[in-house]
Amino acid sequence: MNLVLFSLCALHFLLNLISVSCERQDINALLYEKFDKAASCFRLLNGTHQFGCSSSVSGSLGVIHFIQNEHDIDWLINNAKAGPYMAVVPPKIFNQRNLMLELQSSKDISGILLAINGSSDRPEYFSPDDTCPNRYSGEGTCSEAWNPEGTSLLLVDWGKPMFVVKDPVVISKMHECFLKFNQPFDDSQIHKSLCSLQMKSHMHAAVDTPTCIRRSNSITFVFNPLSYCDGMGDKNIISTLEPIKKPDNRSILLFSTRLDTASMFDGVMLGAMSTMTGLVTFLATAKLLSSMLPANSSYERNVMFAMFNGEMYDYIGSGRTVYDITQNTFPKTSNPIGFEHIGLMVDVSQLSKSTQLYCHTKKMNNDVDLLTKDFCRSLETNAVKPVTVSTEVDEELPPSSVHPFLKKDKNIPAVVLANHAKQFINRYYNGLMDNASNIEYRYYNSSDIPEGSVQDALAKISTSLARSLYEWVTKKRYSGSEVVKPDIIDELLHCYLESRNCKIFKDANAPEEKLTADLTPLYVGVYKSVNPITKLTALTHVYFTGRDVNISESNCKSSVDDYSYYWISGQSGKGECKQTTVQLLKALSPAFEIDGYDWTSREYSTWSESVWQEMSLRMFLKPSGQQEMVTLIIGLVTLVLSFVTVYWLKSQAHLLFQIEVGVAC
Amino acid sequence: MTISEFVGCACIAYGPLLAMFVFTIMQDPIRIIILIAAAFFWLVSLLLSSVFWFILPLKNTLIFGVVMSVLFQEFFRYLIYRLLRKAEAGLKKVSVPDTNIEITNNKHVLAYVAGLGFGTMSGAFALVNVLADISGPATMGLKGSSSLFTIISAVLTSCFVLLHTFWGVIFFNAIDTHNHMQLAWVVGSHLLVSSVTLFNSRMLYFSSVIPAITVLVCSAYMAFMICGGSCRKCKVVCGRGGGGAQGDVTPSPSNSAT
Repeated sequence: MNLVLFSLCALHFLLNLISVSCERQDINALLYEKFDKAASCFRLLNGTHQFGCSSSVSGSLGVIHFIQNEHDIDWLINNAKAGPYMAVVPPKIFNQRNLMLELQSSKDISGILLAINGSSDRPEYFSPDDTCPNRYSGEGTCSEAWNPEGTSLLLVDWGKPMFVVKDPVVISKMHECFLKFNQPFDDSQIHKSLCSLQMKSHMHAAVDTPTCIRRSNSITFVFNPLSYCDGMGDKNIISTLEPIKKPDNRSILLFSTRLDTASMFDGVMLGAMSTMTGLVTFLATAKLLSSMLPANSSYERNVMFAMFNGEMYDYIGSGRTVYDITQNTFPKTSNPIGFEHIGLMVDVSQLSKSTQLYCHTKKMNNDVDLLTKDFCRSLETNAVKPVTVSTEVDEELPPSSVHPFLKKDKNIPAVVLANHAKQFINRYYNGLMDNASNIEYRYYNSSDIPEGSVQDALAKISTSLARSLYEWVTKKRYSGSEVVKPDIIDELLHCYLESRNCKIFKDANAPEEKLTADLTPLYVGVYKSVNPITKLTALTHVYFTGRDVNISESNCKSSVDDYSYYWISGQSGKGECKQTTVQLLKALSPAFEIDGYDWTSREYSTWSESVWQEMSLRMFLKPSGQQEMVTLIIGLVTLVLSFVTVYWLKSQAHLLFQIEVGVAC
Repeated sequence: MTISEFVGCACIAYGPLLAMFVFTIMQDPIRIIILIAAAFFWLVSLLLSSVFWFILPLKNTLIFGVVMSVLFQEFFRYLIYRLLRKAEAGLKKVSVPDTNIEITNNKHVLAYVAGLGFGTMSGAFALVNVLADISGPATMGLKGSSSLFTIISAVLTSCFVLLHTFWGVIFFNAIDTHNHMQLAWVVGSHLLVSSVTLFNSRMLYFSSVIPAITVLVCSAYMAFMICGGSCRKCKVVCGRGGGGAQGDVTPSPSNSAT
């Protein structure tokens, strides 16, 4: 009986061992939980200050603490003992500037994690930008609070790292760990192992742009070829309806919009209402206008299409254009234009599904007033129902690309089109939640688009706008029936907000080009690298406004005289050659090129972005001091004991191991 | 931050090894050479067993790899035994004054040094990975793993270092005296201790540590007896020394020439 029992036990034991399968259990993976989808805040510099976040060189460490309300912050800053802490804040706390600044100034807080728990976790407003965006680079004093809910957190030097997590799975993992190890929240925390975070996002640059450039230039050794910061910027996309040749005064309409959004965190900005609605309307208007006006029509007046980049950072793109105009190199050194040639500047700013369009003009009390009011009136008469246009006369125009132009020559007639009057209706201006749901967009994928949707509204606004531009160029009303179809808007918004691997981008690229489905953020980045979205937008613009020419693929590449040629897939997918005036022009602030530029002058943008090497966020268990001490003491005792024992054995060996002579051993 | 945990674990795992090296190996160049040679043999056995693991099926059944690895180690222990016995004559000729007399006079010294060499290398492989990772800010226990993990790993490593030393002494003696029981003990207990460490993956730490320590004590006693020790001598020595000594019995056969 015993034998049976024993063999059963042995069998069980063996089975147990055999069933241990070989799976790689990395110690590192057991110690750390790494979160790849976390986006980090980074450091930006301007001519006088530094903004944003940076961790310490080896990464900042802190005990996780989830914050729900002010009391938690209070406890964390004044009573908590097991610090430093990582404060995990929901968007509603992040929205309260005073609370965030309290966290920022506390030495017990080593970092901040913004936890957005899925798409439903939306506060009523969320805008980290200034109440008057681009406050110091506009042409006026910025007396209007355009963005009343703006917290200006973009313009804070945090001095600690900050990450954002949007994945509910990641947040629940952290929360579980926090509840399991860190409770109860009192002094007993000191004696326990605590769930902690490590944030690594060390920034190389510091102080301000001129300091950083000076330091970068002083790196002379080859073995340290790293720069500390790079000037921000990208490319402007510029084209004209007809090539410019000896223009008359006030004969060019500069039709503009912006291409970028501001961003606090790396790689997560969509800017649906802040930027996308305007850009999409702009592209659709340009497309319609090009097809309304027959090729090579010799009107006196011309339209220049300009998509400016880096506008959220003190008008990098439009500031550069103004500088190029003063240098007589815009848009081409062979045929430059001057400020006097600009007859009207129309900027498309934020739009939405609201069909109430505001035509912002500036109060001038001179002839300029007439020109701008004329355009607004023309827009009113050309408005396609249900679009209604009201003229809004401002002391200062809303933040838009017209500012650098007006700063240089305040007599340029300028109009800004937007969905708002004195205050943005966008409550997520340059915020993380400014996504498809902010403009109530959903992709219809060529099924019927109902009236009242954002696609429908933007299509009608584009049509109205194209008609009034037509009227401005030809000086007569449009009698045709061409309109912008909501499908185009639907497809474009899908491309920009949901997937780059979309119909229009495919048609606009070369046939062999492969697109990935991910989204590219619209943050302008550094001048050194061209943002992929700029290239895609330029190609879309070529596809929409370029003229078909019968040229084979091999000859369709160079630029000749006034035109450049692009080989794109086209609707057929087989490839076609487009003749276009589209140019990609430098959008880098002249401040980085002018020798001895006064960085405090506020004339041009001075933003630069710090270089960083690694951004990572991981969770781990910080051992309690007690556990550390116990391990250390056991180790030291073992060491000492071994030495004593071995020494004793060796000294007594002649007695212990005494072997009688003759015994083989 | 847990540099203290790192130091603690390193001391537990390598403390006895370091002590033995300092007091019994360091003074004699020949011993160091033999130690390194033995360590190299262990390394080759690991290489071969991993090659076999890679070629043969059953990759995912860990016990298979363990058994094979143990058999390879014992085979290489036999090889180094053959090598050292062959080298003995040569060693006698290389006489550095006052140093390697014991090696030639006491066979157990060779066995002890070879065993320690095996232990050194296996100890290094067992824990260095873990040590490298725990020098960071984190400790074990985040994903349901036990906070005892590191300390248990260190204790087991220490056990294996000592076990290899004792096994070396027993094994060499077993072959010299054709004692099959001792040979079976070495191979059997090696298989047993290696197999029970598989329980660690289920966090049944004590079911691996307790057998390991039991086998360690038995092997230590056997090695002690083989080298000519006995309880009687022990009592005599303790009585003489005032009964101050305790702890694990480490055979350091030396100076037994009479």
